Amino acid sequence: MSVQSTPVGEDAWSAWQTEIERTIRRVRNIGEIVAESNEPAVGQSPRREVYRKHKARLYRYDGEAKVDTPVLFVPNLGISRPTVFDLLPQASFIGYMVEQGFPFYLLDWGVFGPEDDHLTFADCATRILPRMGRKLLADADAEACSVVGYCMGAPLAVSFLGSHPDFPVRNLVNLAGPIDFSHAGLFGRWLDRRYFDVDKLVDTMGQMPAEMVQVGFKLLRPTMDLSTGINLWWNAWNDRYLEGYKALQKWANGYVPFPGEFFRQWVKDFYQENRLAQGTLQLNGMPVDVGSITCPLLVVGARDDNIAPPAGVKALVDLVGSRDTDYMELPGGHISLIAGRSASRDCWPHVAGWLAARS
Amino acid sequence: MPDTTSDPNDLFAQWRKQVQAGTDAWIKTVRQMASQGHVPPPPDPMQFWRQFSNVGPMNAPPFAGAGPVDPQLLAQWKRFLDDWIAAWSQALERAMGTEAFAEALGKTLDQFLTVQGKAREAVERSGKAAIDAVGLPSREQVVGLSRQLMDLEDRLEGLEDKLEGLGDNPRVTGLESRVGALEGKIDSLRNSPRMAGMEDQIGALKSELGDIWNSPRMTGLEGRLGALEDKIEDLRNRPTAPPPETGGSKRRPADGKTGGTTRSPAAKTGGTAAKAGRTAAKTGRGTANTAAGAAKTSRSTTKTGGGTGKTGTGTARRTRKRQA
Repeated sequence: MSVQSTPVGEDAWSAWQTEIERTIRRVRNIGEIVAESNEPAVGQSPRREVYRKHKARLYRYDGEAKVDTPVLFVPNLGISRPTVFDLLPQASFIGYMVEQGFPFYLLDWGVFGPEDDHLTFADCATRILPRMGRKLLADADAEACSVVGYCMGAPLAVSFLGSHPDFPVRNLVNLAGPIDFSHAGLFGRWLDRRYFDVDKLVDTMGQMPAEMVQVGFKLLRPTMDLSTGINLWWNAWNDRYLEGYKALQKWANGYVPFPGEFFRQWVKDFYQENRLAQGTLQLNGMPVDVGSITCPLLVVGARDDNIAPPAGVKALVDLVGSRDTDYMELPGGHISLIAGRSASRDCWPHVAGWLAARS
Repeated sequence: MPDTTSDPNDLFAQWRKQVQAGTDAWIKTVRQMASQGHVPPPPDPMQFWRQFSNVGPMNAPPFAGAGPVDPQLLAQWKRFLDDWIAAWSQALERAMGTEAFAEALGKTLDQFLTVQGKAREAVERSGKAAIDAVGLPSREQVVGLSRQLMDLEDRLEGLEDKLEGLGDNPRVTGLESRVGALEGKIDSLRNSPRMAGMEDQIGALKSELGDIWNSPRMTGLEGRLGALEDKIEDLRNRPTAPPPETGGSKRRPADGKTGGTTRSPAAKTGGTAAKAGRTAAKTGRGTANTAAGAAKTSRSTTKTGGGTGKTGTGTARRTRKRQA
């Protein structure tokens, strides 16, 4: 096989010249990344703490409220920090929602230590979330709020609302949150009870350590680091790309452990027994009836999501008792659904528009 | 031009060699531990992977295949790499989605946990001994303290909830409604015409009393009362009556100072009593004067001291009444 020679002439010379210049900048920028010790500032949107319970914090983001119904945003617990939703001022889901006039509240679950090993999924769904919801309503002086769950935050929010049918929720949004775990992708396979002994893991380690969470996610996409490295080299001449890259890398490398009992319940009740979708989930003695959720529902899945495959996300539409339901599937993966250029173009405006029309 | 497709294949072969070497080292280590009875024999991960190791290159598109070559050679190289990685990613995803991989992963994790459990136990034991030796709090103690704090937080929240819940308690609600009803009744009483009539009557009585008090008749009565009191005082201040005469001698003055040459023991006694009475009267007057503003003291003193004191008492009483 042979490669045809490049066209000779001014165009080719100019292209090579550009490429050489870019390569020089690449070398310089990557050298700076390696040498730089200061980390990029992420999560810069101004906010204030409304309430705290153990490690969890409820934050209200500053901004002019143009919409009556406040939004409670419930992200994943463990795995990673919620800075991905507010990476940079020009690339922030939270910033966008605040700009659209939503009184926006973020529930930050915090970083767990050995003292939190006893915290269960049930505690989060039936004790922390209802309290945070009440505090939000009191702070916003509102009668009802919209709940937006991302990733694991969606089953948490659904479990909370399904066990508290009296909580005044106006709208529910599920962003890439797994609900039917019979479509749980690779994680579903690996966490199969025949092969994965969650009891042994929790009893031995106490918690699900951040390093093991990292291994699990890296294994999910083994070529990710290679592809990230190649993309970095290719785009390293672009300062704007580098800014985003550094912020994203800071978030992506900050893994957070799971509390032991939470992980045990999460794996058993959801991945292994699929109780939420089957309607057999009980949390602290309270039955979770997803059918009791009757507010308008928006579900957004990502086509190439290998953490929460769209089929498992979409299942919520058929489980709730709502009449006003909407499902949309966007291109991209689990993270690019909520962060990045495509998210700001496709996902954020749709979510904001859908909520604004019902708030 | 050289055949550039050979480069990635070389890289791949090198990578495969490295993975194989790493795996062999891992198996060797774990087998050594297994032979010592610490862990069960490990699975051979490469046995699983070998069936997929050729899938990547087969799926990858040929570098610089048919069609015109992009003038940007590096861009084409980048595209080739992306496609190659995507192909590998798909192949790996397929491989990792199999039962065999899940089983191998589970076994590997199981081994790791077995080793880790023993290692942790040993480290914790030795660590605890070292920490105990230097008198520092152990990990369990710190964790226990944190949990206690969290429990306290929970209890505080429980109290907060109860306080909030009190608002919904039917007993409290009943009390609230009863207090509200009472307040309503008081308000209605206050605004009732009967209450207004009573207030008017009290007002009229007050003004009537004021008129009587300031009337000339009252002033006259007061004057007369004062005169009477003065008379009583004079009467009191008069010398006491002389003792009955036994020898028909002329009457001696009551003070006993200017008496005859001979004095009976009784007269002596009488004179002394009169003297004492005058002294007391003097004291009483003085005390009454002092106690013009403090009527209570004045009254108690005049009881001891005599008439002048009483006058003082009367004046004080009247002053009080006027003030009232």
